[in-house]
Amino acid sequence: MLSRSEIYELGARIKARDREAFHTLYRECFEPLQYYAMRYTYDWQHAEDIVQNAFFSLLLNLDRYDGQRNVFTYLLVGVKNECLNYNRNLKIRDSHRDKLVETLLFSSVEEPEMDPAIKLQLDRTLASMPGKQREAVFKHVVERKKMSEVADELNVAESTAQTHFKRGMKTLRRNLKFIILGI
Amino acid sequence: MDRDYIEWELLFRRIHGEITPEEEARFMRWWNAAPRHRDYFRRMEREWQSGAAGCYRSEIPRLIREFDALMDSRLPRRRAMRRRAMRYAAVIALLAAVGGGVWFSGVLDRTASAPDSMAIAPGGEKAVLIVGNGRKVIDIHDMEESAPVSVDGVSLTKRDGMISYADSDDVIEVDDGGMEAYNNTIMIPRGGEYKLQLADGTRVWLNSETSLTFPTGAKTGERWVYLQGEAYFEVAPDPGRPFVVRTDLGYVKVYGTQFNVKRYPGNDYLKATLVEGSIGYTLPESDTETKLTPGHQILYHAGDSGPSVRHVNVDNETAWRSSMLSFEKESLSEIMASLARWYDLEVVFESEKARDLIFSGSMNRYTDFYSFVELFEASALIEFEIRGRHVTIRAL
Repeated sequence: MLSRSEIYELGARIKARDREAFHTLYRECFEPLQYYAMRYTYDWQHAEDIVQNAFFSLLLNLDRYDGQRNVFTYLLVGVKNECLNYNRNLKIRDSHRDKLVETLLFSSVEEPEMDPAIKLQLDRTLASMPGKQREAVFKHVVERKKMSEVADELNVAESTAQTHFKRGMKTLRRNLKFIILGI
Repeated sequence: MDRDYIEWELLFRRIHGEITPEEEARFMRWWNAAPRHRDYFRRMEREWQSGAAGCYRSEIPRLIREFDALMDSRLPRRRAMRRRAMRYAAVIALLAAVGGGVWFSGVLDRTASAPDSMAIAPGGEKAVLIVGNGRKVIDIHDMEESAPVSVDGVSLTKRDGMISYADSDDVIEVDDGGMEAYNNTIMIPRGGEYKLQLADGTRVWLNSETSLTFPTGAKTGERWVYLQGEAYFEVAPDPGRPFVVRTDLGYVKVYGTQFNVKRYPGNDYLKATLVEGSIGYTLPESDTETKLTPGHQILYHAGDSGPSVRHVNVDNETAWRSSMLSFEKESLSEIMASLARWYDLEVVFESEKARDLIFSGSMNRYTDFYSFVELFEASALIEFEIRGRHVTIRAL
């Protein structure tokens, strides 16, 4: 991900319709946003559409973007609204923001003005996982590394990394269940 | 409205088996409300059970190319946004409409498809040509692009989704007995469409499940074609030689013009819609010709004493030619007949009530069938059940 200063520099160039800046934005931000949308749609292709539309909308309504705001956050707001519409259309409600927590957890996208209560839920879930499992899950799911790369980084055999990953997912599911359901 | 909604958390608990009987009843109500609800739940369940999300990569370079194309285009803002799915916007616009008939607009141009099991692909360029008096069948797919071939002494070429017959200089004398020898037939299967240019320059757009028989080489006497199905004609003017579209439900005689003729054997009617110029319609075994002016349509039901003439929106009647499917106050059974031809489906109505629902609207016919289903389900109390190519429609 880009550093804070890089993101702001990028925002100014986006505002100036700099084509290269848009390309950088694609390479840096498309995937995390798509992961975010995917947690709502459970459909990669549809998630791709939603994010592509957010990029198109940024270009077509460039007058509404001031160049100062974090451009990633700006895109995220558009994607999030589309995701909420998606749920509304499926007649799904998220009164306790469980869906949101699940999404943030799996996409590793940070909400700009995150509710402290949600932040707490997230931290609790993460803290509940043993170190190796957590690393395997996050390198694979969040950093989107191949299992062989994960194994190299953890300095273990691929089959071991695979086991950490599976157990990690299990823990995650159980703990998320605990946090969401309170049981 | 609240009653229709379900908490996401309840879905989550359903997957993990932590659900009370009352909640199960609520879940089932939501589950039964629409196929897209069921699809969503199945996808969610799969994701939670296998858990391996981190294996999908979009092709970023392709997405960037699409973006660059938009940056370089000078499309007005609204049009440009249609390049990609805005399907939920469309569905919500639909819900806002009131009454039985609903207008849905052509914003649906999505490339994303429904889940694999549900994807029903639209038709495409498909046709076979029957030449040499039925002796030889040529699949147009097997023909080389832009390479003329000689058939029955005439040269024909395939180019950009159209077969063109060359205008030969040799005048072939046609006597009534020998005429059959020169007939060619182009057949478009279900899920197909194709274009044809006759030797005189007349252009014909052929819709799905349509066949057109025409003589080749003849340069004297009446120009004629025999149609089963639906075709749009742009007839090359030739004052000396009238052009006649023959069908089993009468003739449409043409005086240099553009028009659409719809005569499917499965329906009991013929429709001829005039866009430009002038046409006349004659019943089988009759001498009375009904003349038509542009913007009007002749409708003849088999068994009636005569045809009726009505004013129509010609854009709707001929939209299929420009990749659109348009309907103006048509019954669902009629619309489904068109969709079945294009998507190659078997459609069964389980309730008669659903058959007579009236819809208006238009949509790109290259979208997948599921988009239509969503629109119909969103705008009327009906449900589609799709199993392979079999579609069952019932009222809720």
